[in-house]
Amino acid sequence: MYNNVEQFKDWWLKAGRPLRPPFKNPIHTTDIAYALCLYREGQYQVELYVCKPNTQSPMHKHPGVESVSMYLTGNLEFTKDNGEFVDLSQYQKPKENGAHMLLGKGIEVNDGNKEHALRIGNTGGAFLIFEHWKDKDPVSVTTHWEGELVGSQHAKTIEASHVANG
Amino acid sequence: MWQTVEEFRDWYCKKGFPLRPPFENPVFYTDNAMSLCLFREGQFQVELYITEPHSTSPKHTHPGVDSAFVYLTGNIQFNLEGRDNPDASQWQYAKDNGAHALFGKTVSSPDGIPHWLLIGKEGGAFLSFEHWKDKFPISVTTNWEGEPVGEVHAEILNK
Repeated sequence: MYNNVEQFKDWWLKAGRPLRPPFKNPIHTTDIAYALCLYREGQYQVELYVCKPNTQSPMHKHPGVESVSMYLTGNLEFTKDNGEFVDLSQYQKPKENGAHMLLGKGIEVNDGNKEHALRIGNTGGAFLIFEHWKDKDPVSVTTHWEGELVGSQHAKTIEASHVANG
Repeated sequence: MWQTVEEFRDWYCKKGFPLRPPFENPVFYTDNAMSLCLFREGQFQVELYITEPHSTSPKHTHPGVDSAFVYLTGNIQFNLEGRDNPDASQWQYAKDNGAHALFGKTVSSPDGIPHWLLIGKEGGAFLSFEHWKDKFPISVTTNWEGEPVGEVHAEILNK
């Protein structure tokens, strides 16, 4: 059905964005964002992240997880390869239908080895992240995290996940 | 297009959960939950709520708003004043396809009927379909009558 994360993203969108949050490990929270897994099948899943205003994640990566993100709304800035944030301020405006100008725009595929960070402006924001977990069962990229943590709540969430999932 | 919140809910679900978060007022948070408006059109909107484990909301209403909740996942006990509120803990298991046994179940909460939530250790997520009858939709987090969830929520309500 799909052999890589981009194929999974295209399938999910074309299939009408099927909503089927799993019973197991559906929700993960940190100091700056809450995540809900919208759909999980085999080694693939899509998580929705809702982010608090005026926050930022440290640089980090998710080894073994190929991912691609999709912008939903709000004031979000992702880093480029050089670690600098992309200035998206020119796109902070609505379309005629009231949606954000950047709704549906994708962020390039990350093979799991590329460090990245996220900065959220004063409106908060939300995005989807499509994931292909290549060598383990999917949980959440919140808990599968290499790098400095977001804060104490993030640390507790990772600890709880390790207790529950080994 | 829709006359009631139930008509809007049914339309939205049949359409395949269209994702069109608005530019204006899309995200809100309290001490134990975050919301994202997934779709807003006229006086109707649907918000996704994601709640932390072991969180509760005190009894409250959303004046001028008819609501209908749709269960997504997690351990959530919806309670409406004057109604039978069956213990949701008996349905804390997965269906064959991996979804929660309560996924898709709905509870209507008409304007003026107090309601409250109890969330278990798993946290929870649900959709809140809303018909704002006399003002433009923002978030039921801010259109709240009753004791706030906590200090963060109280600050939002006082703005």
